[in-house]
Amino acid sequence: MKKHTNKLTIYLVILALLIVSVGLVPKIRLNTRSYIYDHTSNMSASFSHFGTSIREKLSFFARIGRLKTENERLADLLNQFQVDSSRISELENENTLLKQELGFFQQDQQEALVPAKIIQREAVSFLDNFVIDKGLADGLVINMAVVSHGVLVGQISEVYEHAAKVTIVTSKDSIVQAMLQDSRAKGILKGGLSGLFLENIVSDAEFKDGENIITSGLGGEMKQGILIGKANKLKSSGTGIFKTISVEPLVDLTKLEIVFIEK
Amino acid sequence: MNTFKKIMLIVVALVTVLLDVSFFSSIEIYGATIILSLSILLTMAISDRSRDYLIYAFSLILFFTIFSSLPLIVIAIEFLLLPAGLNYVMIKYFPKPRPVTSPIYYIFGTLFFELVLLVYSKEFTESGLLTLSYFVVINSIVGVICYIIQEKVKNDFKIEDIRI
Repeated sequence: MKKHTNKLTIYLVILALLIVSVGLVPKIRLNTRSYIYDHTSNMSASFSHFGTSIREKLSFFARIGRLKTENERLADLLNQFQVDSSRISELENENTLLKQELGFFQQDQQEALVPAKIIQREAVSFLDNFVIDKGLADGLVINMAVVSHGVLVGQISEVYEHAAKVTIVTSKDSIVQAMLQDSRAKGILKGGLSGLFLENIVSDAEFKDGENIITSGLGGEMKQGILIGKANKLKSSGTGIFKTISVEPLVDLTKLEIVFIEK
Repeated sequence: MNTFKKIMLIVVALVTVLLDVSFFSSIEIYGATIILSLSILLTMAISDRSRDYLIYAFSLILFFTIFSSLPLIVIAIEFLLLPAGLNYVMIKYFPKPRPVTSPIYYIFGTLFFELVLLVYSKEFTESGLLTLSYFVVINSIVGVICYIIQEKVKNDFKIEDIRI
């Protein structure tokens, strides 16, 4: 019995030393994470894909009753988008012509997008971050914007050799400089379990229901104009100087499998 | 406990943590996810009198320190203090764990687990409490399933019988 206790103690001491080294020494933690992500990314990607496909199947059965109404709503939306798309094409042409007339340089708008697969997520869902299979080797650096279908999903918060951690916009740790597209009123986008909120908007700024929220580019971490979501409703006027607006995300952040990093 | 069992516990800890961060984290139910490693740990803590569950608990702390962004102190409270407390209660007050009493442990264990997380993340809101209730229900069910499986396996198979 005593021998057993001694052996158990030795194992526990070894494990405790490993925990302390990994948990308290940042360099060891970084190298260990990098090593583990490199060696488990394939397995994690398979598990993650399997999990997402199961979730998709389950949610299909839950949604089956709403499919008809959803289909009609999407058909209307598609018509609206076609009209918008045609208007935008016209405006683009007009813009190009005007730029040429004024002698502006035509900048290459095609940003380099790096596709990445989500291989792991935080076990505790509301901490909202995930790990992707691209890292330093692919030219990624901290604070790069991560998008899906052109909508901002999050920001790179940690980078390893072949992996990177992304903090999702809905995370309580996420802070993004954002603004209302039409009124140009700037604020700070913050996440949390209660939802997504645009805070510190000057109280006299007007906003329309459904108005686009885009990145403001302040701070220089992210380029201006990346779509984030739609303004939903006024949450509070706070002290009277600033107000807070709730934001409706445009992509289902829990269903993501592949994302793009804007380099 | 032979060396093989100890190594097995460390390997099982790695596999369950990988399952938690890549498989179960993709299946979110009303903001709550299944944490299989927690259910297995609680099952071991309420049925293990030899304190072998500590190997599994320490391994979980090590792997969650690597895979999670939670601070070490929170991980240690969740995966060491909580099971150690339940193990103490089990030894002191329930001489023989029964399937009927096991749900009480799981409900208390998962409630404490999520409450610590809510306090840490300062998310004591209406949505936070809703997530808490889903988390407790889902993970308590998974815990009871783990307990039933463990009871079945214990009767038919003993890991000590394996010799390498």
